[in-house]
Amino acid sequence: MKQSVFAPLLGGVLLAVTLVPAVVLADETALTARQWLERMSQAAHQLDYDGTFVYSHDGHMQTMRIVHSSRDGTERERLLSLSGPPREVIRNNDKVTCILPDDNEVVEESTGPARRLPMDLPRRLATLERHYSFRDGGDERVAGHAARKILITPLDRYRYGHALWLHQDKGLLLRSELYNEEGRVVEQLMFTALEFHEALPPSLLEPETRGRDVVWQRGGELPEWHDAADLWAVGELPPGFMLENHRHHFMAGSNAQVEHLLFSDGLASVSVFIEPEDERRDGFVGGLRLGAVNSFTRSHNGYLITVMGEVPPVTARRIAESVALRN
Amino acid sequence: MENHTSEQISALVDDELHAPALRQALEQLRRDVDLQGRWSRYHLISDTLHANFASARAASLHLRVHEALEQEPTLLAPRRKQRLPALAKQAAGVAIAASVAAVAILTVQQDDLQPGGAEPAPIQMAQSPRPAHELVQLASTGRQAAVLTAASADARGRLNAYLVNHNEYSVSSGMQGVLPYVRIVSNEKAK
Repeated sequence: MKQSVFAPLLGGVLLAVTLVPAVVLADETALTARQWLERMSQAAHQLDYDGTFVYSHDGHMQTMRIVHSSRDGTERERLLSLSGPPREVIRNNDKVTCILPDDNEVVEESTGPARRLPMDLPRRLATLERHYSFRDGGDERVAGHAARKILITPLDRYRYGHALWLHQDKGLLLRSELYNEEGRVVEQLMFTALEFHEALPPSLLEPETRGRDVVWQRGGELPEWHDAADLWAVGELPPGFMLENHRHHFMAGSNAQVEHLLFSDGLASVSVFIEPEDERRDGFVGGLRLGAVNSFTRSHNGYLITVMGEVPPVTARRIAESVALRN
Repeated sequence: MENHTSEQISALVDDELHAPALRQALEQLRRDVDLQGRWSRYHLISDTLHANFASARAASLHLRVHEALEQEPTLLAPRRKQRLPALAKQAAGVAIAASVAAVAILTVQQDDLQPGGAEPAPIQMAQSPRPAHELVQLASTGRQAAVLTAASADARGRLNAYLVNHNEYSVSSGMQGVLPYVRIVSNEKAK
């Protein structure tokens, strides 16, 4: 339903690529940074764990708890805010329930594409090495667990740098830092307590935020549509960025149909939103910094094109300029 | 209805509304030109009352303001029809999520206004001289500061909705794991 028109085609290509077993690509000696990342991706989806972490951005700090289980191909996950307003996101494979009692509402819907292990992980990681350098940062300790630090430095000015701390044996991400173009940390996450389970008790995955005033509301399937002709052409993108997803949907508060294109270089994701300009509404044009996120909006032939992602301003701008009306 | 709207706008000016009343009031304000006029008048009133006037004069001003308000024409803005249920449903998820994310834009750091600037100075909503809704400074990636006023609520709303969608969909890249959801849950209310 959510799949873009490109997905089947893309899927086919990726399937062909992933038929090459990862083992063939692996080095026999110590794990390379790439293999560490591969383990990290798998660990996040396949392990059962229950942990508390601190998330900080823009001078704010929050504590959250995450509970994750994976059984017979079914991933279940519960994310709960422990500081600030109580909020919960519960994910059952593709079905996501957001419980936001400060709004007295609960939304339950299938949202976004499935968050599964990307089938094309080896290919992605190979591509990543063209745009980032990976370095072993040595052994450290996070939340009482032995961790390996991996430093990811961009090779050009189009992306941000990362530092990742991965569980020494299991590969799970224990701590991460995102650095902007000035080398400042703009977002970080760190576990303060973490427990692994053989099989997580299902009761831990039940929501606890359900309040008296909460209204349960089931969001309908989001019907997405495609126009017959593709209106938009993507010109020259910053190196390494590729179209991952393309969909149309309705935005809240307006009847406008918004086109959403998602680009990624394998690590950083950038969204492009295109909607018809409305003279009665204010169309802000230019660049904005929203914490770790940069956005750039431009007006083009009666449309507003807005690019947004955890990338430097120059990337947002260049992507905005590369998307144009066909002809 | 009329009194209710006045109260709502007044509360909005005083920064006393919470979601979902806040959302409703902002939406009303966005659609209604008359109401926007009243919004600015209330602000003028609020600013004037908070200024350190001589108490007697302030009191008489308060009275005059009160009279003026009494005589304000009744607002007969037609209630906008409910959107088609199907569309409302589609929008619901994003709308709610957007309200969570609203603060993402309200809490931009001011230091970004000057590239290479010194210390980060987060905007303190509580201490800001004006209600947060009226004047929110957004950091510009260039040298110019972009100031979105109440008139730009549209732009803010649009960027918020985008931000939520971006976070929801960048989940698919898988590499980042749970981080996009963390970003959604972590957005705090202005209060």
